[in-house]
This record gives sequence, structure tokens and C-alpha cells, in this order.
Amino acid sequence: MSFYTSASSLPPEYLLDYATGAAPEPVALAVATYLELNPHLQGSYHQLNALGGNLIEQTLPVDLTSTGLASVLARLENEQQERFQLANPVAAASRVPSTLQPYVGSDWDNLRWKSWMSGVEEYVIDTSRYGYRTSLLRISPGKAMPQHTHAGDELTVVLDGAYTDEAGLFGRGAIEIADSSVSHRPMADAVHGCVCLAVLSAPVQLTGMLGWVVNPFIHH
Amino acid sequence: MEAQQSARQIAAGLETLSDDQKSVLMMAFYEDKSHSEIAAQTGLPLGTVKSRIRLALSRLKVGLAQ
Repeated sequence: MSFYTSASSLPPEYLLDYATGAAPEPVALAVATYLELNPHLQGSYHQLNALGGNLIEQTLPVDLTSTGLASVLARLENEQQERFQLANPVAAASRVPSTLQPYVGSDWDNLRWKSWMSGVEEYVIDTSRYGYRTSLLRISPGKAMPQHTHAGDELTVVLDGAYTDEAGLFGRGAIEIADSSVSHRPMADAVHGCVCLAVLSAPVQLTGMLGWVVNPFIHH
Repeated sequence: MEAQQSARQIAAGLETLSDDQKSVLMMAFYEDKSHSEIAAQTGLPLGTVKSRIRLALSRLKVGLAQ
């Protein structure tokens, strides 16, 4: 038994937020996508749900009616039902995880990608009502994002190919969580490039020379 | 059967948690607070909340990489 010590796996507090329903919708989307790509971790998620039930059974006042307990448990259950269904491992027919298909369809080649610099394309999934910027990013083989840091949290789930940055190698199914303490320059795999889901709670801050010029334009 | 064993394990493990560890789990499950909301509400540093969650889950042997 160990913590998630790898830089490419989901920290337990994010899995807990997802299990309790406290994760904001865009973060829940990233976690659900991650779990779909890592089916061996779905057991950990179910354990957390069981823990919620146990905590409530152990600590609720004993005079609470059984209906009361049932309604709390039912509410916990319903919250999960309303959120993303945990999906089966991705069908070979599509590279797009089924969790994401309601947002982007079943083939990202059909999307209207916007190119905002050489080798970097973005397709925005509108989550502005949650105060988040959520998008698919497609980086051409060997190309890099500009060096940047973050005003808030950035969750990146690799859907295809791979990238490397200061923290290591992130392949399909890996997740990287970066905050203001992290400045990085993700570079796509030289052969396969990279497609990832990126969820940002606040705009990125470009830290290289380019940032001085571009930062005023990328804030949303 | 595995699920029942794990429920017993969890129940036994809950007894061994410190009040601090138990209270972050209570805020998470009872009040539907995210780890960052728990930090904001309690005034604890985010890192402290994260480590209490990780220690609690580690002790309960749930929610961690298998």
C-alpha cells in the first residue's frame, strides 16, 4: 500500500472530492476521464463511496430514524448517479473516452480546432459557467507549449500520445496536476504528438519572453 | 464478499484515526466540501488538509493506488 507517489497519478484528495460530489463539474470530468483510462483504479473510487456510508453509519446519532439514514445514503447514491457514469475501458473503435464523447463527439479529427501557435491546437469545451477553462489540446509531434505557470490549478489528462515536462513523462491515461508552484514547458512526443484534456481553474501565466507579449490576450 | 470484508476493515480503521483526520473526512462526506473548501473554512494550509486526507485514507487503506 502506498500513496500516489507518481507524478502521473491522481492525488487521493482529488479522488475523494470526486467521490463526495464536491469536485466542480470540470474537475469531475477530468477525474472521470482519468478513471475511465485507468480502470484498475475504479476499485479505489468504490472504496471511497463505501467509506462515506460507513462514516455516516458510525457517527449519526442512534435515534435518527432509519428513514433518515436511508435518505442520506440515497442522496449519496444519487449524487453519483447524476454525475458521470464510470465507463468501461475505452472501446478500441474510438480514441475518445466515452466520458468526453457528449462534449466532443467520438472523433476529435472532426472538431474545429483553433490553432493559437505553431503546433498547438485547442478545442474549447464551454465550462465558463463554472469559472473554468476546459479544452482539448493537440500538440504536434516534437512541438512544445510555451513555458508557463498557473494562477490556479491545472489538471491535464493525456488522451493520446505523450508529453514530457520538468516533472517527467506523461503517457496516455496519465494525469498531471500543476499549480502556481509549477512552471513547465510540456513537449509532445516526437513521433505521436499529444492530445490531452486540460482543465484550468484560472488562466495560465506565460513565464518566458513570449508571456510578456501574449499574457494580456489569453485571460478569459 | 470482498466488499463486506472491506466494510469491516473500514469500520475498524475509523476507530484508529485522530480527531483531526476524522474531521477532514467528516467535512468531506457530511458537508460535501472539497479539500480546498475544507482548507478555506478551517484556515488550515492546503498542504495540511491534503496530508490529513492522505494519512486518513492510508490508515483506512482506501482510495489509494493498488
